[in-house]
Amino acid sequence: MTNNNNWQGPKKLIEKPSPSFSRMAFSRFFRHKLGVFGLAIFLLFSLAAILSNQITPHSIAQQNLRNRFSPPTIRRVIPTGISASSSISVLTMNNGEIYSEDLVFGIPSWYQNLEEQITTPPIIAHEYLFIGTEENNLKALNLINGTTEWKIDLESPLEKIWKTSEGILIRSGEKFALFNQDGEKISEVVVAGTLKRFFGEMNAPLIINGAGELISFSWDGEKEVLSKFKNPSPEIAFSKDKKVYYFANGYLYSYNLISSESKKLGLTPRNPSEPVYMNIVGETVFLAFKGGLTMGFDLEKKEKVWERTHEGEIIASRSGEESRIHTYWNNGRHRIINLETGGITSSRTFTGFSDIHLLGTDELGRDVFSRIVAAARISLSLGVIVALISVSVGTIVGATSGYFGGIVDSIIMRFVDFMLSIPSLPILMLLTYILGPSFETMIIALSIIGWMSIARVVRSQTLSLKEQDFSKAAKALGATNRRIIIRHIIPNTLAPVLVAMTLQVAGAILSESQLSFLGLGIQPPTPSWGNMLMNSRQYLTTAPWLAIWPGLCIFLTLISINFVGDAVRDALDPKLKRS
Amino acid sequence: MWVYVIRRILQVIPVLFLISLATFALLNAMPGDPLAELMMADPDMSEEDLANLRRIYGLDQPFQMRYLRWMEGVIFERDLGSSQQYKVPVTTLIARNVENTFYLVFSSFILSLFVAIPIGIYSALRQYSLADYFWTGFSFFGFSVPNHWLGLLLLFLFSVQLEWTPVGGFQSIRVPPDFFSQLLDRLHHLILPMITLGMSSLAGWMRYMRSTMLEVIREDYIRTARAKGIAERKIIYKHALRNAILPVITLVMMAIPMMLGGAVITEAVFVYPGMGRLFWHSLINQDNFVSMAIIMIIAVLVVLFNLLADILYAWIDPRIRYD
Repeated sequence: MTNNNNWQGPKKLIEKPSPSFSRMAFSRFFRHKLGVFGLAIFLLFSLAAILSNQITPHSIAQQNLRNRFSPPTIRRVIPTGISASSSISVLTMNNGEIYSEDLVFGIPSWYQNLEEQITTPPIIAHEYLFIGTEENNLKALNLINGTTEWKIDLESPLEKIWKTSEGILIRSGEKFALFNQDGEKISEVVVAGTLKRFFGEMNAPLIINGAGELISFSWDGEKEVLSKFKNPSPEIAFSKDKKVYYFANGYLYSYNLISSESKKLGLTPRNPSEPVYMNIVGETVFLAFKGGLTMGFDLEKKEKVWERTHEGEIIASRSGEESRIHTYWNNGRHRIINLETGGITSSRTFTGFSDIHLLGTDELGRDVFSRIVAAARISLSLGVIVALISVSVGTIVGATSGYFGGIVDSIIMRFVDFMLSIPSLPILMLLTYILGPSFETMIIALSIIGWMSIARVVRSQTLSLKEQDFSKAAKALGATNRRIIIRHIIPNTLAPVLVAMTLQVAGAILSESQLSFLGLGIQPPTPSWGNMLMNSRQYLTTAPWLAIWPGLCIFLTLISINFVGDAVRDALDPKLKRS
Repeated sequence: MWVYVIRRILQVIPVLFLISLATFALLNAMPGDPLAELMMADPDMSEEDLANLRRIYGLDQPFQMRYLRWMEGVIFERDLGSSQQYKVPVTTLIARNVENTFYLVFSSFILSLFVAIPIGIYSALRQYSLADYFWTGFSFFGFSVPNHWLGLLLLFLFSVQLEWTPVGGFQSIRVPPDFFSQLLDRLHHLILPMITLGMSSLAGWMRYMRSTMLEVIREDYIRTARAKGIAERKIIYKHALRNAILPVITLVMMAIPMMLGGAVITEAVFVYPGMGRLFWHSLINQDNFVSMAIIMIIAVLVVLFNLLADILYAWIDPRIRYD
């Protein structure tokens, strides 16, 4: 009896079964520090790739603005306007501060504080900066250093300044006055009534007054009412190509100056407030309303293209490069609005680190971080898809050809051996070029190359597995060849295939970036780490970060996959030595 | 041995034939008209002229006839066709570029070899030392770093920031014609591309050398040699190294054609006028005969180095017999 009690061997075995192979493999994997590190990086990248739609430039820009640049609720200093020539841009604040920026080099140029309120938007004309100040002064400032060159005292407050070919035109009280660049008055005309809008050429000025009349006048004092916009009267107007476009009562109209016809162009926002700003760039009408609503209206399609609401109210704007409009808001923000989409584009090209652009911007002002995240999605999904296709094809080909042997096997393997010894890049270049470079064709081309190494691994495993007892037993039990391959051979090749698969993912990502680098992969403007790198080469002196970030991403992805591959190899097959 | 070599060469011929056929077919399947550029240059060209041109270039012939004609030219006249883009025979064009690529590949091969093998041995002999950890880390870096990025980083650091090396090209304009200054100038231009191209193979060989050395050092015959009191130096270099280097040789031999592939990227980064860049440009400009010739050169090199690796292996390892 005592003997029986002492004998505990089988009982123990029954109570505590040895951990399964997969559990052992898992624990071995997680003991591999570099492997876990690599997996963490890879998962982080994958997460970023999956969530890339959420991490768009807009949301990044807005989040950072909200978190860090949130202005005080009451802000006394607000911009009154901006003016820009080809080389310099000037921003004036209502407290008399003037900031100027060198547009050629993109650096601040000079700063002036006039210590009196600036009441008009600034105008750059004839090598001077013209502004109106609270003491009814018209001031001309030197554009190079911002010192006041001359000033004129006016009887009544200065409302607005325009640039003309002869000099500058001002509206002060009920007068229009024309000055030359040295401050001498050329002519003066009294046009009574409140001014809504002034436009037209210098020899044929047009205004809309507060009563909704479109008036033309000449510089010797003659006035003519061209049209009276009865109802509705224009709230804001802009003239272009012999037409006056005006916004009234929630609708956009056009008025033809030659045929004197008014046309209703289209429906605008449901709850329009008072329009504060209007501009026409190309075929797009840009309208901004009180309360932060902005709208784009396409004159060709005669429909509203977009409508967006931003925080704050627009104060000033100037048209920028390529259908972009720079807007300045009363909460101190500078937003560049893309007129085609209405979205905020990044503030400038080639900015380095900033709170809005985590990794800076590129030559078109695109946010590098967002592009990298978007490219991660492409690269990682491409790597995984290619690896999956290669593994499926490679396993089937390798297993069948290893299992059946014979002439087909030797032909396939000769071919595979040879193809594997050829550098893959020239062949991939050839294939992607013939198939036409795109995401799908790259998957095809990379899979065409990729299955071979897997097939070789699976075949060599199959050759030894088919001689082992379990395969022979299955055969003896009458299992079909197909069943033996699927149920017995392929599951046993999983360990080396998994290792080869991680290498496939890394190889596909590297090849993708190389092909895109050579212009034979993902085509711009779709971002890919490779084409971002190629693009960065020409800006290496001015914007080196463009080269650093995408490459760092490729490097981190590759090294993390290599770490994971090493760890997987150790975990699945402890017999294999680490190299 | 010779019988084996000859048999291997004979086996290779059908493979090369198939490769050339496949490449020729693929290049013919390329979208677009090879004469598009000519048509663009001269929009007034008449249909008749175009037909004439097609006849001259052999584009009116069916695919198999064109292939046979190309093959005939290659075998009997050593004529690889002519480049449409540069208007010279392909052989001339390649001769102009092959030298630069040879220097690039050869120098980075030598660099990798002479850095990787000694360091691999060193870190195997001092396993788990600080130096070993450093070089293992370095090899992980070198193995994973994409060479186009490495090239750009080196360019930025040494050419843009420090201004030590030229930004691109393969030689300066005003260099004294004597051999020594020419050589120095070439090396000056080569140093960054050389490192860029050699990095991944350097890292791979270093890792491989270390692991095979570690394996060999634990073998019984090394222990026996130690027991017999043979000097450590002799054990390492005579007994261990000779065995450990065997598998490395195959790897090293196979790396030369692989480096030709890597040269495409390196030459693109450094604007280095070599075969890789020529291949890239000929592919994009549909200069089919040039692409074809370069692919065939790479294929022949692969075959050649495969064979060379086998022969070297047999020569170093007397256990291997080929019948």
